[in-house]
Amino acid sequence: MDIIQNVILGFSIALQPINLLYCFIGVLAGTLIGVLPGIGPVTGVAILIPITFGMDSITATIMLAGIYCGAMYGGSTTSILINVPGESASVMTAVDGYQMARQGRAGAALGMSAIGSFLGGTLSVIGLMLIAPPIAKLALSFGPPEYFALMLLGLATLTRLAGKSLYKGLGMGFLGMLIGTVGLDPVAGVQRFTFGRPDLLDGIGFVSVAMGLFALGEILINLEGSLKKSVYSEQIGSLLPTKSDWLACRWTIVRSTIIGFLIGSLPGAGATVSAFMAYAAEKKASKTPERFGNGAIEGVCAAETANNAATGGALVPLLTLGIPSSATVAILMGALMMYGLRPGPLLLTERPDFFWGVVTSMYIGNVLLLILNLPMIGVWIKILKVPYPVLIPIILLFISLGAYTVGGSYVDLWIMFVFGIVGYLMRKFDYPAAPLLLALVLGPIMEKNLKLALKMSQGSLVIFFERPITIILIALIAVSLLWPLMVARFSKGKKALELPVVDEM
Amino acid sequence: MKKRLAVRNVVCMVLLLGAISLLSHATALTGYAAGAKFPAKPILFVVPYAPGGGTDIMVRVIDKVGTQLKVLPQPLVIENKSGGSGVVGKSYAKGKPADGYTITCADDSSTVVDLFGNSPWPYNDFTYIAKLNRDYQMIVVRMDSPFKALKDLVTAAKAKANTVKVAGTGVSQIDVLHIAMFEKAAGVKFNYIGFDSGGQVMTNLLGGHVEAAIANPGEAYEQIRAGKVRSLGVSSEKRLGFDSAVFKDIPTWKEAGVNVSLSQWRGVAGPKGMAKEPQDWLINALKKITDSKEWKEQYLDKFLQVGVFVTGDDMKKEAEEEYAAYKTIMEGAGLLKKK
Repeated sequence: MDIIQNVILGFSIALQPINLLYCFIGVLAGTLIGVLPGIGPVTGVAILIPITFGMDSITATIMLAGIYCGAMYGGSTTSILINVPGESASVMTAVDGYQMARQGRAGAALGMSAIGSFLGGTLSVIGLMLIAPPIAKLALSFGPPEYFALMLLGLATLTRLAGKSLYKGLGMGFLGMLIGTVGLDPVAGVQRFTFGRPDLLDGIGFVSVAMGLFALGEILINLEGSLKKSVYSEQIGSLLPTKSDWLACRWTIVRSTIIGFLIGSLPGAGATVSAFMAYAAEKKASKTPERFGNGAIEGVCAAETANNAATGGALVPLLTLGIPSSATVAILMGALMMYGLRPGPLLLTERPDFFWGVVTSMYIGNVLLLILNLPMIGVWIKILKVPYPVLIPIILLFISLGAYTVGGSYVDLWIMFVFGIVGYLMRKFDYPAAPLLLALVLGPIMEKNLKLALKMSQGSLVIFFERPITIILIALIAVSLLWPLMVARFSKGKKALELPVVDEM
Repeated sequence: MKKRLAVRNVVCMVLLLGAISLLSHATALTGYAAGAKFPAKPILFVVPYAPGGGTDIMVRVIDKVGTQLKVLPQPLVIENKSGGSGVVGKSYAKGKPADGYTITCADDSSTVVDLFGNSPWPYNDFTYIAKLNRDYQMIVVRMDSPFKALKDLVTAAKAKANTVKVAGTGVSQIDVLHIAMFEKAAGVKFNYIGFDSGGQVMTNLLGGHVEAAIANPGEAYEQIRAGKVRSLGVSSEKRLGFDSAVFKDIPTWKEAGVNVSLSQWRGVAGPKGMAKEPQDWLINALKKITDSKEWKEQYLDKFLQVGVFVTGDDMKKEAEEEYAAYKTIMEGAGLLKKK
């Protein structure tokens, strides 16, 4: 009964007109921030914190949480329409979403991503209400060996993202890991491939690489053709997902929510990793994996549901343990302290009004986002009617601004330009981009945790086989790698021997 | 055919990039008219760390309090440029004219980054303005840990070197150095595990993946208050005077038998060669801000910092003494990477 009382308390706070207003302002600002490439939730929240000074602490936090959720929503729009991932968690949305847009199904993609986001976001808030303490416990049981095994599992999904040729996909994965080694060595602290430039000490920025490979690469490819020819088909199709889309996505939403919520709650993993993992899991579960990368609605749905479910998950360690699980949440925590709150294990008992007010407001925020976004689809789609010679310079301007905004450094801009050319060549010669990006995200986390785990065990590999969670994860890795071979063995069919990855990304 | 087209296109793109690069270097620097009374325009404060971090918060409170008290005629322009443990943002600020209109953060991180060989300029290549606060370090363990006092931890570490796992933030940052100083004073050797953030340090401590951690009072306070974590000692000279329910009973390291005291600090500096007028104006403004009740309430007390005020040449002298001391420690611990 406690929980019902708490939820009522929460709603009584979240539904106060002033809080509703700021929740609305937050999600609206968040949507805009998500739409602008480069300005992800981290920068967005940081920029808007000074505005919240002088506001009531609950109201201010409600607004910031709204920005956080809204940015995750907004990121999908540009990914789908113009192949520009607004923030890193939307990269996987671009893969299938953009293909859908080119097939005249932008409306369905936007609609499904809005609804997937809504369901993922809402369910994760409910998860936050009901099972936050056990989830927090699970998050604590993840030390370096567990993270290493989890990241390895993520990399094992590379084979799923590989595209037409497994070798090309794996090659791109290796390239991504290599790029991930630029910067300071995660344990010894020595510089690697930085050429003495301080800008490269923290490595090569993921956002610049993603925008170069996706957006700039796409623009360059399109420039080869005649500019008069419209890139998009005239017909835009229905604004909403069809019945068959719904049927295809019903389990996707459930699976992706669970994956997003759990991975989101792990400090250091976050929304981007959960979107990748959900996408890969969906492709594995699908009976027709060859559609992924060519406009599969489940792909869009998986990525968007997972990255929004991660927002609820990310708040679990903050609100129950007082530990920030991601860069955005760390900023939120700083803000809470400036408001005079003390985020920690005692927050829930000392300030139940704050905890439940903010959590229920996130629920309301998700409803507001859905109301805000569904009618917007019709407006967004008009972007596709803009003639290409007008659209290209605008996209270029936005992605350049975006790449610069990430770290306020020209180096990021140059990285984006260079990866634009690389992306063009990769497209030309049919190398998939997703494995490179996945490896670039996971590689450095994996390396760091491998080294830390070995430091903990003083070099003994036994540490990976004496902890229950790592054993389970390693078993999963083994199954996921050996499964295709085992199937081939038992069915003795020739077809199964070919790897089940025959699609383009 | 396809290949040739691609090669031709790539050559065009590279040429275009080259042209853009030339143009972008052609921007001119414009100075500000001399003779006007300082400050005649808003001051740019380059925060060399990400928004929401300790330094960022300090600068934002300076701005807020300074504007409230009308010490700053116009709000500061705050620009976050993070990366390379502060090197990127400080380099950017150092590249601006030393006219007082660009200032940045001065801290021990410049010293440490320099000693670890990751800084393109010497640690003291600044005009020092003022040191504003100190932060201390604590050794903390989980509440259910068998280590009840600092000497238990030291005894365990003495029994077998490199077995007691101690978590801290970063691999070439101040925590490494402070652990080395602790080890030297206590005559032990820990197995230091460096994580990316204070949050991860606390998660791994609470999750039982490490035996102890080094953390600032502000990082550990809520966990201690909630009874999840116990502090075995603090690195200050005297016990800390914050929330007495928590800090009154935490001994200093010296009291607990480890004869060393150490701290971190933060302050303000500008590009080298700043004239006396803007420097004095800034010192005076910071003095007024940090003397205020608002500063104490909104920054020092809230984030468990100890206020200090050391300016100009005195601050430089302190930084130089600290550099020499840290250098010796790092040589002893085999950490020194600078040639």
